Amino acid sequence: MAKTFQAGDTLVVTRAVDKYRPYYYAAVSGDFNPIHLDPDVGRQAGLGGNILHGMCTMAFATEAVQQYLEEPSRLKAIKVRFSRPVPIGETLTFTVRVTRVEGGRVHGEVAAQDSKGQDVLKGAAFEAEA
Amino acid sequence: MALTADYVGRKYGPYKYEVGVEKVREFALAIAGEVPSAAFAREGQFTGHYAAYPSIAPATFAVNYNMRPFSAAVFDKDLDVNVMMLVHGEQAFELLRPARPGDVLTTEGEITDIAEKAGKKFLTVRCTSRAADGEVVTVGTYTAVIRA
Repeated sequence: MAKTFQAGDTLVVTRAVDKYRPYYYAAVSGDFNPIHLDPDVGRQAGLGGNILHGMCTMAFATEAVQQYLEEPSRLKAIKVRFSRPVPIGETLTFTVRVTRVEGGRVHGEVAAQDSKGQDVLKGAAFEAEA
Repeated sequence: MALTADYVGRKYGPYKYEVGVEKVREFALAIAGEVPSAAFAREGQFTGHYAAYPSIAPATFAVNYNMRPFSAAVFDKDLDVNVMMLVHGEQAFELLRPARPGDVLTTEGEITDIAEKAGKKFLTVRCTSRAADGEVVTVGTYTAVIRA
């Protein structure tokens, strides 16, 4: 049966930020900024250690949306604001929620929180083909 | 600091990028929480929506081809950005169609905004990637925040 979309649909996905994830992400994205890879540099930058790439957090959020959509190519637009650094060892919870389905388009938002319930993304929104 | 509104409109590129299937596979594995070097053992074993990869690239694979003008702006000597004080503030992608292995994409970017709020500088670069036939594939809008 074809996937149907309704306002209020919700999907929760949790993702672990394991110790080596920034190294894997650096290798596939080409972003070798040392604040993501070297705990000393992260501390010097006032971040308490190395932090996950914001774009990796966005990738997790985007994949959560696409898991909901079932077919990744349905996604037409996504935007996020990075509101908090993500330390290594965190577990992130992504909550995808559909706000409106109209004119063949699905509109929704994504909340992303760390294990303390703090938002690591704000104003994250997406648009997809129904 | 030379990051002034005078640079709004400055352009970067074009940059050419050919999407390769193994790079897409490794990228998809990394963001799926796997070990990318195990890709050879995982071929054909993606499950759920990940099964669409690597026939198409994940949306955020755009960092590999669409982000280049933004990186060029951040490292532009005239702008004199202190990259140690830089964080990625906001990110938006318009996905007109998925990128696919074999695509040869050309990306051009332009500084669309430079602003200062609460002692922080904001640098926004809009990057447009087109396929060989001129079709727009991805538009990315990148905002860096630089702590003074």
